[in-house]
Amino acid sequence: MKKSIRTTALLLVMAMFLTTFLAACSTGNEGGGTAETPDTGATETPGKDAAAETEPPKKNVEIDFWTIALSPNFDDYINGRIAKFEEANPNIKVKWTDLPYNAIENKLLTSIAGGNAPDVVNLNTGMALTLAAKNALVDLNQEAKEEQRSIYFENMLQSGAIDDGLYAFPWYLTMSVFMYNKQIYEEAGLDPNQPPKTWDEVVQQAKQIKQNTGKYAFVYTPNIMASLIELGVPVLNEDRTKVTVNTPEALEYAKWVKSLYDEDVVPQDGLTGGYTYNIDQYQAGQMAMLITGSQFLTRVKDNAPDVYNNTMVAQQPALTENGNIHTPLMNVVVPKLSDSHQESIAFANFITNDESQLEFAKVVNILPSTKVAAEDPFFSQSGDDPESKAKVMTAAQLNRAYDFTFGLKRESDMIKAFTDEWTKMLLGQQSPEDALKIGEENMQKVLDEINSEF
Amino acid sequence: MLSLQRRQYWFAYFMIVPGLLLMALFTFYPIIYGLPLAFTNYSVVDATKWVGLANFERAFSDKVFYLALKNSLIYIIVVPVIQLLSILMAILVNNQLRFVHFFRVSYFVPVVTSMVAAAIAWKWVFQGNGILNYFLQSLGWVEKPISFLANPNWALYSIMAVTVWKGLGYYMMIYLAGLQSIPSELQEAARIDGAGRAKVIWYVTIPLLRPFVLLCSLMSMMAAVRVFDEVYVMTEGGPANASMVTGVYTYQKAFIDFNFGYAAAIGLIVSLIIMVFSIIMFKTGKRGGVNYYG
Repeated sequence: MKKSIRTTALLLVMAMFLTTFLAACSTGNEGGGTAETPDTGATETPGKDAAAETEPPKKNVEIDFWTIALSPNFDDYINGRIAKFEEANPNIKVKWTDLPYNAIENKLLTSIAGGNAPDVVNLNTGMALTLAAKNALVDLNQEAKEEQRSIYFENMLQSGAIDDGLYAFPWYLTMSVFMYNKQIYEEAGLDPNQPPKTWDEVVQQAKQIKQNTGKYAFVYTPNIMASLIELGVPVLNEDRTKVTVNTPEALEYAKWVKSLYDEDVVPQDGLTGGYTYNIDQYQAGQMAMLITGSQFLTRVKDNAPDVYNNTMVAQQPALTENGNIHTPLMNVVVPKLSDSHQESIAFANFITNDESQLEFAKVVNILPSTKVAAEDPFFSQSGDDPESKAKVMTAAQLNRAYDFTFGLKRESDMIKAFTDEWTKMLLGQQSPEDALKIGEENMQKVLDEINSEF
Repeated sequence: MLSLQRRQYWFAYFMIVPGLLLMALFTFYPIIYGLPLAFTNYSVVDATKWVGLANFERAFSDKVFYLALKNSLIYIIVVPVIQLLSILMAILVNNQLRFVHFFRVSYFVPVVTSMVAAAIAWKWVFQGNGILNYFLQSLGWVEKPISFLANPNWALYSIMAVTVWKGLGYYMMIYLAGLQSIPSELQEAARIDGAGRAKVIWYVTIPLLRPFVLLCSLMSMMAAVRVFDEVYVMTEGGPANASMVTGVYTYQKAFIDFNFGYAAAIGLIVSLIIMVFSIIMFKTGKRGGVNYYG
């Protein structure tokens, strides 16, 4: 008797498993299909400028707008802009959703997989291009108008391009400044009014600070690939089939970075701690310099008022005199799955236009990606506080700003193949020569894989 | 008319159903859904293609995956350490000590602390200018501070220490329950026969706890192979993959590179390994317990 009951129960469980399995299989197939369905939206919306102009405005369009970490601090600003847009476009309603930085990528992918994507999304360049490479974003060269594209700085606009396609409107950015702790400078016998202008001076001062105060001065956390490119290393050829990183310039740079660790100028903890470690240590008054986006000044002000009161700012020392400066950029994109491309593009353009960005910059320490806004006197007038000084310094460099990315699918995989070898070099496990040679081989291997996948 | 026994059985199964349904939805379904993924190049937005065993071939020629696998296996060292220490702690707090409740609660505190918060705190402890280096230097044991988490020789073991710290209290509670189910006569008899304290623990208490040891070791082993939180928060697998474990590697492949097919293949390989270990432990750990001797 007992046995038969147990068998029944077991059978029931198996039946349940089987149904779940079948369900899984069927959704699996659908999951595969969704990838091809994003175009449903595109087929409804005309793909060319000319066609767009002839189409009558749709009624009752709802635009889902996703941003990264702007609520609750900027609720008033965003809601204000949305209200203004809705006023000018009574047929469109904008629904705003704010997501944390770490969540947006996953959430967006899941919603695209579920066939229900938002219409306008705020993304960083890397993520925007990853999605663009997967054919999930609207090509703005095809669907947006010239007057919509021409308001941005060319360098920044091109950061969101792959081949002939353009997949993002640049939004706001913050450029790095050199912040330093006046008190530690004085303790080390340095003149706080003489901040370093070149990296050699940074290292010199750092050594003196270490010697006289026992404190490390900074953590070196650059984007290695961007640095190499700024130094003139080719990295990728034009048709993106061949990697070249093992060059004399790269070797010289590698040796220089390695010497920072070998001579104990920078702490080893920075290797795993990265720039968060730098910020923590700087706020704790344990580190003299902080080279990062000027928006962090606000964080220092909130978390460590004493350190903030001793903080001075200067222009960040660049690797090259007049070259481009890698700067993380925020963008807005329109997923192909959106069912109102034209309206979404219009809103994406509106939230990033001169007026919107200038107003935003007045609320928080950001720089605009549009040319007219950047010329506003607001960006050339400085007060006594470090924030406004930082603003003027960085605004002057705006035309040199670009966001570095190769625009390749699985780009991070390829970069990691190199940076792993780079880190081994910094840990003293291999020579700079080997790091570049092996790093180059590894990168090439991943690049070949990526290219063969297409 | 159902017999009483039969009704009891139906009732028992009835009670299991809600839990089972939840498990089916949130555990079995994703597992089963994940299986076919391992044979595709699924990346959410791209077209999905069936790629056969390509993901597995890639895994077996992927140096970082081997490294992660090796580190995950090294991680199993935490199992005997946790088990031994938590048994000793359980024996300690099973005594009629003053403030015994206070001790029990204190040992349990790490268990209820969020791993992320704890890992961040431990990160500070292990820093070059952290408290651990301060002690080591004050005692004159090291000359130059060691950046534990940025040093490839120390990173993995430092994180393992945190796992041990975090897990002790949990297993201690299970062993404590186990100890209280052991009739004290057996230990008393051994003591009368002249066994010392250590001998009683080693020859009487631990064998009697054997079913508990099996359960705890199994859980702890599975947790060790799947470890994620502490590694992700403290080093993200760095420096240069020195502390990369399969959990973090799978995560990176899935949610950073969006290579879900490959990630699923890695996950599948790891689960097979866990299964093999579990079977071995079941086969070898069956003997023991009160009933066995009774």
